[in-house]
Amino acid sequence: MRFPWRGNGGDGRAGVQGTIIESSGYMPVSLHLLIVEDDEPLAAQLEQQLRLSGHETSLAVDGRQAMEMVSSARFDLIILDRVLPRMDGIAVLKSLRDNQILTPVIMMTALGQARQKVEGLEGGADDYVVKPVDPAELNARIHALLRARSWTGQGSDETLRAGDITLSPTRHSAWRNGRTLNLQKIEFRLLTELVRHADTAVTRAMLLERVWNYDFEPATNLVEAYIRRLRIKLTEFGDEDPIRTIRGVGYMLTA
Amino acid sequence: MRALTLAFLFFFLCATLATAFGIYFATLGTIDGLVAKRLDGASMLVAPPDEPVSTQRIAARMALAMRDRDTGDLGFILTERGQRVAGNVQLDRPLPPGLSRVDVADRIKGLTHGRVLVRDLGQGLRLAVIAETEPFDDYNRARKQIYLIGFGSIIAIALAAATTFTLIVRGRIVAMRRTVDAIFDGDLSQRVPVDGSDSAFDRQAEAFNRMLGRITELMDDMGHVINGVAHELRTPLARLRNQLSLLAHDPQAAALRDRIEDAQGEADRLLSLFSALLRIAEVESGARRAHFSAVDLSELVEDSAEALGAVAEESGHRILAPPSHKLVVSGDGQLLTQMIVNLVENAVRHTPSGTRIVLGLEPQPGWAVLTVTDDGPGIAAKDRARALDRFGRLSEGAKGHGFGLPLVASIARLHGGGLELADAGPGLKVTVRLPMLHGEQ
Repeated sequence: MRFPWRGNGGDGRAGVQGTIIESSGYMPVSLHLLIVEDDEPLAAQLEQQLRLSGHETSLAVDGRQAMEMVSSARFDLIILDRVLPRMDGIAVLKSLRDNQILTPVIMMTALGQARQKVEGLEGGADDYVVKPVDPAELNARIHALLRARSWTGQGSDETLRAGDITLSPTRHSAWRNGRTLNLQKIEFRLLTELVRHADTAVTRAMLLERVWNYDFEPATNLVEAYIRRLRIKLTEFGDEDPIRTIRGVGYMLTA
Repeated sequence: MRALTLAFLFFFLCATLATAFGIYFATLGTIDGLVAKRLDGASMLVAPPDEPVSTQRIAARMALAMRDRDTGDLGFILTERGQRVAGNVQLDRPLPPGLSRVDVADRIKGLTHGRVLVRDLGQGLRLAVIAETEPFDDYNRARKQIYLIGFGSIIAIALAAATTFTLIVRGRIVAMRRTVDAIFDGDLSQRVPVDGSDSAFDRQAEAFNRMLGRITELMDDMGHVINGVAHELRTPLARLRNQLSLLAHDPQAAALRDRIEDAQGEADRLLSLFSALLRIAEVESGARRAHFSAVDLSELVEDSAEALGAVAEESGHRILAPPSHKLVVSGDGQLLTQMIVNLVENAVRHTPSGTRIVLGLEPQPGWAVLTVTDDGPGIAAKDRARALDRFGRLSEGAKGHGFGLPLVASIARLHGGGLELADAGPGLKVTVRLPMLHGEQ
């Protein structure tokens, strides 16, 4: 008897196991976050969990309050619900960007509404998460986003560098300690993503979105399989494994 | 519809022709009757049956009749034992008794067509009365023309009316069918056009549109219920899962960590089931169709084969995706990718190590045909329908939800195509057909 058909059916982010971030190699940064969410129990839980990760949080319950708070205080990042009373999430986003307020924004969208995500990104959001939000996922994305914003950039426009790994996206080549790495298309894109976010955790969902371009969660552990492949190629010449698995979060390339 | 129209026209034609011929032959019969009656009248006038036969008297009456205004156009011949004894007409041949016809061959002066009544009067006397029928024949010809023009135009008008009627009805039906097709394709916003004429068609279209409005409302309600339930359940479930996760990392719960993680795994499966439900609901709503674009399937097949290459290699499967020609469909790239990935993952997950999975893509007239064939154990024919059923599972107790193939089927339907499972002998062959936008040979 064949097993039942039970392939993946959705874009849930439930695949990341656990929520605890192990401290080793993961630098907690205290950030001032603005949460814009009208569902109070949900907002309270989100605040509690982000505080546990060491952040300071403020809450706005609708779009107008959010605009007022943004104009009077400085936030490192805004977590914005797509659907809000009084002033819709997209309208808040447009208004922020029109007023040259470039604070990074992570949009929270409802599941099964792929269009909301596209609208959010087109409207100027930097990233999005699907509700109900996994705190570990959200925290990883906050860090990845701020890291990308403050990218001081080792290397030039032409090359990316993290530790002894160098990448040239334009030439589609990668080296470790000067030795060429023979990578396939997906392996190369995976390494690029890890190098771009070196020393920051990258979640499975982030990798699926950015490397595979999937807005759904596959039924197989294809991310893990490619990470294993990449590890083999990176350690081929006896170098140390630069990819660290962060339990409950994802992966991190240490520079 | 066409058969009905043709049958109607056929019967109409038959009835019209029968009427025309009926009137024609009835008129002909009446005229013949009138002529016969006139001949009989004249014959009786000249030789009344109740008086003794006398050649002189009959001849005298004939002479009178020939001068009379009413009977002056008739020809008379009286013969006695075959010899003509009186009359105003000369005829060479003997005439049979009763009614018969004469024509131009009889060389009667001034007569081309006529009828003759011959009576035996007794004592060898025989009286023939001849009437000219030429004016009737001329009238007959005119009558034929009238019939031809009259009934011909009736038939032409009926044909034109039937054709116009058919075209109008067909136009309305085509408009309605287009609406039904669009709705079948998931576009519930379509309505049957109404021209405001308040005709029976218009009223029917309005009734149909009211029904569609009601269906849309019900569908929306159902969609809201499904979405609401899924969302309402997902939020507390996500909270529960996060709590389990916190608990699993609590040093005090170290002894129970494995069991807590099992519970967390169950919560994850439930969450992914809701995701799958919502995904299907989203696909079935047809909302994604608004953002369709041209998608090259060959590229998606190649990318999916590569994306799953590492997983397949680890589980000892071999994925073969022979390069194919560019095949473009109108669709949602993400959903089509998910569809292909789902099919390949199903094959990877449900076949033993060493199974070969072949991804095929080929054009058929109007269609792009995608196949995923494996040489694994396959699905028994009786179980295939259940594999496509949203809540059907092939074996109880197996983990995971049963939404893989139903989602693939939903995505195929959203794109105007369909899904088929078949025996690959050995193994399973899944075929997805999608309407092709264009392809390169």
